[in-house]
Amino acid sequence: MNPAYTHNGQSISAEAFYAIACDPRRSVAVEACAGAGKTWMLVSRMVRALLEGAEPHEILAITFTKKAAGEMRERLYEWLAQFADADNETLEIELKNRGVTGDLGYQNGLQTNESVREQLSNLYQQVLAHGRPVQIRTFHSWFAALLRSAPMAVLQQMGLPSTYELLEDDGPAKALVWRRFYAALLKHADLKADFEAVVLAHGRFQADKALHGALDKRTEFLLADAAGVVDSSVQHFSVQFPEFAGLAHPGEALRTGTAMALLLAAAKALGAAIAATFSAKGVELEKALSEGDVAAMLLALLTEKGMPRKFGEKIIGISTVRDAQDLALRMAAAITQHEAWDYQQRMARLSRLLLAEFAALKVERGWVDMNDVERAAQVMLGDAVLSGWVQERLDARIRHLMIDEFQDTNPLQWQALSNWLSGYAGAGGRAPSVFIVGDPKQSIYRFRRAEPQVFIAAQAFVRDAMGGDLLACDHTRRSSQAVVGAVNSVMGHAAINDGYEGFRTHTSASHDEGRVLRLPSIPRAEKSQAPEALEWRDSLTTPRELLEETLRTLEARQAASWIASQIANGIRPAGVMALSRKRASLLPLQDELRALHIPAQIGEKTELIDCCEVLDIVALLDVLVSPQHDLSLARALRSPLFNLSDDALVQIVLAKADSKLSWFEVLQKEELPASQFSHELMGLGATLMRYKALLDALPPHDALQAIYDSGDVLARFAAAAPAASRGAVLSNLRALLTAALQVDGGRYATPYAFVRALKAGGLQAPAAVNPDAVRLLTIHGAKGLEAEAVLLLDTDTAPRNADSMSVLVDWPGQALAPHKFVFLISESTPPACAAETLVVEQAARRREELNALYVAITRAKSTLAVSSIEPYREAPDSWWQRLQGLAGAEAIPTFVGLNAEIESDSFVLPDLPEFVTSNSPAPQQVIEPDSVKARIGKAMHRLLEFNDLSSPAEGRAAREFGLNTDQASQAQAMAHRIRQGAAAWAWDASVVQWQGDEVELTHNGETFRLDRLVQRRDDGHTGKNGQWWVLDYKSATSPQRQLDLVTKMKTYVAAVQAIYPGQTVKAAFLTGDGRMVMVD
Amino acid sequence: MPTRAELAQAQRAAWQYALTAPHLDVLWRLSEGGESLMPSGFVQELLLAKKPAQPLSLSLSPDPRPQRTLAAQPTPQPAPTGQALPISTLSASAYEDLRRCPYRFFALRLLKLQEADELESELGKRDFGNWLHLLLNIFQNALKNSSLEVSNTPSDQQIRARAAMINIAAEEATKTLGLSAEEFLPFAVIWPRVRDGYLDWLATHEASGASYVEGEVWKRMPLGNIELVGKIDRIDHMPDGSRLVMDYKTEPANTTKDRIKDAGEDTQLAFYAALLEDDTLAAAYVNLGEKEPTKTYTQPEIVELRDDLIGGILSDMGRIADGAPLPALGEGKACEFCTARGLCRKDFWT
Repeated sequence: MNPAYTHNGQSISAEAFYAIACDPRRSVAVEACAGAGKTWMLVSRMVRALLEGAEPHEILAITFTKKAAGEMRERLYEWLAQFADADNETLEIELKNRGVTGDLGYQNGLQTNESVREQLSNLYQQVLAHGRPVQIRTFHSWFAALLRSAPMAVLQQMGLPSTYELLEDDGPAKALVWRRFYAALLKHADLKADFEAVVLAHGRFQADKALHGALDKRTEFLLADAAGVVDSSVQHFSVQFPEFAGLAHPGEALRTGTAMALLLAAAKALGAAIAATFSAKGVELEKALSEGDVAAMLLALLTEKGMPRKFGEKIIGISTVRDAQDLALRMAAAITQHEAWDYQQRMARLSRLLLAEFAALKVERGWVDMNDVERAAQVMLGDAVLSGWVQERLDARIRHLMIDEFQDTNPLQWQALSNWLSGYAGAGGRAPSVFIVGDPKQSIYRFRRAEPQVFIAAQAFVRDAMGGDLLACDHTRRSSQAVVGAVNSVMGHAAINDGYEGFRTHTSASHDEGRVLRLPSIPRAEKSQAPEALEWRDSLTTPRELLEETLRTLEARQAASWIASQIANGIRPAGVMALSRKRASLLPLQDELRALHIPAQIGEKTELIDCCEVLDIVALLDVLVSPQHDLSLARALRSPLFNLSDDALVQIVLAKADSKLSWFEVLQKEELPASQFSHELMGLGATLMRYKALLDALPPHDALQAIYDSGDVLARFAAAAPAASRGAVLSNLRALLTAALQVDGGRYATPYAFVRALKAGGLQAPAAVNPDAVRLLTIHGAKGLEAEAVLLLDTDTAPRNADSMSVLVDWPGQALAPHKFVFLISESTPPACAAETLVVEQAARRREELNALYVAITRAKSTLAVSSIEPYREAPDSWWQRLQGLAGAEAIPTFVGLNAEIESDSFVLPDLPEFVTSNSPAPQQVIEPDSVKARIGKAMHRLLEFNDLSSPAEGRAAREFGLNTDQASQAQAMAHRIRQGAAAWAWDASVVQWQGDEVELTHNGETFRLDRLVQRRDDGHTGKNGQWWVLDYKSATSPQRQLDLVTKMKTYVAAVQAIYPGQTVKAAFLTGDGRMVMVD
Repeated sequence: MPTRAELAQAQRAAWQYALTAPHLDVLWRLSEGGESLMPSGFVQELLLAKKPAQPLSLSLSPDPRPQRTLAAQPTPQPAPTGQALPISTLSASAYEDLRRCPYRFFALRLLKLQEADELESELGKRDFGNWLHLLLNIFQNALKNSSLEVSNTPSDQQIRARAAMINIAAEEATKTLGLSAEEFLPFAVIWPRVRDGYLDWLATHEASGASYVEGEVWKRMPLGNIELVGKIDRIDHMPDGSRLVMDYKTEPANTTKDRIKDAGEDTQLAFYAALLEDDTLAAAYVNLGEKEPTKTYTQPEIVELRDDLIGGILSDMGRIADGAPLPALGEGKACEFCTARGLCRKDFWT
């Protein structure tokens, strides 16, 4: 028994563990440490479910990102492909690894090992033949699919638009709500008063922050508000502090006799004290009482921080003073409570208006955001009838449900799932088998509402409601002994000192000793008290530096140097990963690595519009649309598009002289002043005009493509970009083309609107494209990834200050709605009734901070290095402090440069082959008037094609082909004879199961039309079952004698035969005299 | 409506038909937006039939695209010269550009490139600042011409009258700038507090003996071959007859404090001082706080700073006229919002 594996709390062998985990009939919840092979288990379960006869689409696997879904899909098909080609021995091992062993008699129709093996190797083909794939998707995409099949009534009931656009990123939408919100406030005097009160009490910025908080947590707010939780989350002071009940404000207690008497007595006692400081407080207290000044009264008895002042024991009547201080404390607490209550009520009213305006905005624009999608899923899956109906419509009864990274599930998602699964309870075996796998230690998405408590609720559900098993694994296959040692030490320490729960000592299968080390901490220069003597910095030669940036740069420089030494020692760049909590710390490292010619890529998503090369193209579009925009033109000219020198720009300014001309107009001038830079400006005006003409005439995408082609744009940018970012530059430029087609459903028909849509943001640049680069990631971005060597940046950061104007939500995993929704003014002074919730919240945050550390450390396979900047104030709980004792100090080699990796001065760019269009005009066909005979024939064809031999039809055909009455009735008569003649069966629905007129076919590059193509129905006896017939109408009586006509017919037959290989294809001429002439 | 099975069957039939073509190129993408993609099941079937099982990423035919070998053309760091574009006037903000980054000065001041205004931009803090500058100027001038001006310790009545007067100025400024009521709402709410803070400050300020002379006033001062120009927010007279130049700030107080602390890099007050011929003068920022009261931040070493600045300007302008290179020295925050960033090509340097 390996203690690293447990089953329902008992130790178990690794083999038994995987046998249970991979058994598709059991419902299982797995808690698995980092590197335990979660994806392996999940995909193995899919394979086994397929082996046991599940249809691919009956398997639904849910991951948290599209990327993870793609990787899982890839893994599944990779395995299937390998199995399809593996020998028996290998198949045996693969099956055994996944718990398929020995007696298989119990399994669905699979009697022997041999048949299972065969089944496994045929699985790929079967899955492909089935057509519908295994569903591997994100919660959002699954929920969105549910919403697409939602009945109208549900959309209406939820206040959602009936036709909508799904907003992946709600940022731009949120930005639009404020103006509406303010306009609405102007119409409601009472709400405007609330707004004024909040702004005046806390400031404009803080009020804004609080309202943003409400908008971000709108789902929680709406659910809590519907349950009446928002108003009751902060209690009135009369409830929390009953002694002040009945007063409008706790301060009014001053006017009550008993309080007044006590305070006066205390004032007297203090005033009589010998120590001058004490008696002064007595005087202040008395004055405050006489003026009814509550604040001054409190300040006489309490310190500014609200603690009781220390008065000497020897004061006569000190106990009265103590009592008075107690009263002051209670009164101060009640006042805080009152302010919190008042704030809560005002924010609740404002939030209702804000969210109503946001909902109205979305309906107006036809937008549905991810919150709506989740809410709708909850409604639809929660209702048994609806849920059945929706699944019917999706034609997707799910037999196997698997969820990865379960610790990142939010309460709403879990509600939707558990409601749906509970619906099966009592219905026996119809419930899907459920497999959830996750690691509460890796929960780092609380800001996206992930709730680690949900994992516990789900484990209980699997065990109790589904009769399933609980598995846990603390054995990693990833990390070296040194790294696992660090994990055990750091997390073990946290378990003891920080109350970190749920950590069990890890073991590792790795034989690598590994290393944990620290780079020297970057020291913060001593703050000199005396201001330095003023010294004038030379503007033209000395850069201006900012302190923080310098420290960051120094850290990045040292880190880059260490990374370079790793690479010099033989690690591939892609084997190194640098992690930071903030994206900002990654930017300087990218620059420093670039300086050492080491390719590095920030794996975090970047907005397309923030990329230099995209901005260059946008600048070009901008100046083509608005030719007076000189700055945009200058940018385009300096960019690789035109590669102009600064000196050439100076020439433009000189040419412009004192005129009011725009640069664009200056470049159109015929005569530019001659200078040594003139050649750079030559032809520019014409090129710009040509681009402008393209943009004026074509849709943005086509114009852009034409500009790319004619300017050789990709090659120019690739040449100018640093080698390390060449790939990214190219893919961003291509992504811009794609965006021109796709942004907002391709509705941007004008370049101006396209540029505006780009600038509005929300369009991500393509993710990492360079597989040979050092990866620079945030902890969140690194989830699920690993690297040989991991470097943690900026690990010694001082704790954050207490947050203010925040939202505090208490939403246990299994609850339908939040239990509390508190608008907090400051986390350092919460109202009494929220204090406990805040403590829980802060503990959860501390835990998440440790989770992030766990995630960071466990990315490392072999080496873990930590780096830091000396914090501006003590940071005893920082990652650095936790790790530095374990890590060996490493001196940084001063790094000269990777000689071998000097950038090469040429590169290869695949090019699209030239698309040759014939510029010569299509040969004009000389149209000679058809003979009368030919026209009659055509009219006959037309009548048969329209299957209408009536006299109006005859009239229309006569007009079309210029026939007189007599000629028209000849055509009609021939058509009639064909319909009624030997081939009349070809129009008989009881004989023909498929028919088509004027059927267009392409064969061997030739396109032609068949007059009529039919397929015969089964009649059992004739043997003509399913025969295809190519029928050709001819006014001539003996077409079979014309060789060219016969050849043509044979081509037709071959064409149909190619489509339906193995079926009989016949052909016949139907002649104007009603005969059917077979073609052999 | 056709059933899913019928659709699937039709799709397969169409694929079968496609496969009958004498020549068929099948293309598929490996990724989209960085997320990997699988080829269609039909294509996988083809690949599977092609045994031995190909790894999916392997394409069966070599990449048919012709390979172009291109020479890399690394982007150099720019160092343009400005002698061809002599300047005659220099403003405080232009000189600030030079201090931050010589290339920025080249692009924005010598080439005279400025960002075009966005057609529809949100009302922001800057608009609030403009509004305050305008209304304070209207108010101070009105106050100067009224009988309310003289008193050192204003009475309650005078305070009320001043509040009324400043409110009128505020309305006039709102009208002049054409601000929309809804967008301006948060600022309108905070205005009474800023107003009271300002009036309190004004009373104290006046009590120190200062008296308002002029505001939003353009000043010019020749220096070498150029002329310094600038609009000074406010100039007061001190009791000894010396002048006090002031600049209103609507930023967080700490930002203003840092300007005073990092005096060597703060061009604005020194530049204003350089616009006046006085050798005895004071200079200060007046922070119009929204939460904190309005407060004066005096630059104690203004004369020395001014002299340094004048020396710097003379040296810099002289060297630029002589063809000294203007490198892109900006770093960090200076570059983040710099409109000339696309011109210096910093993102493409190697």
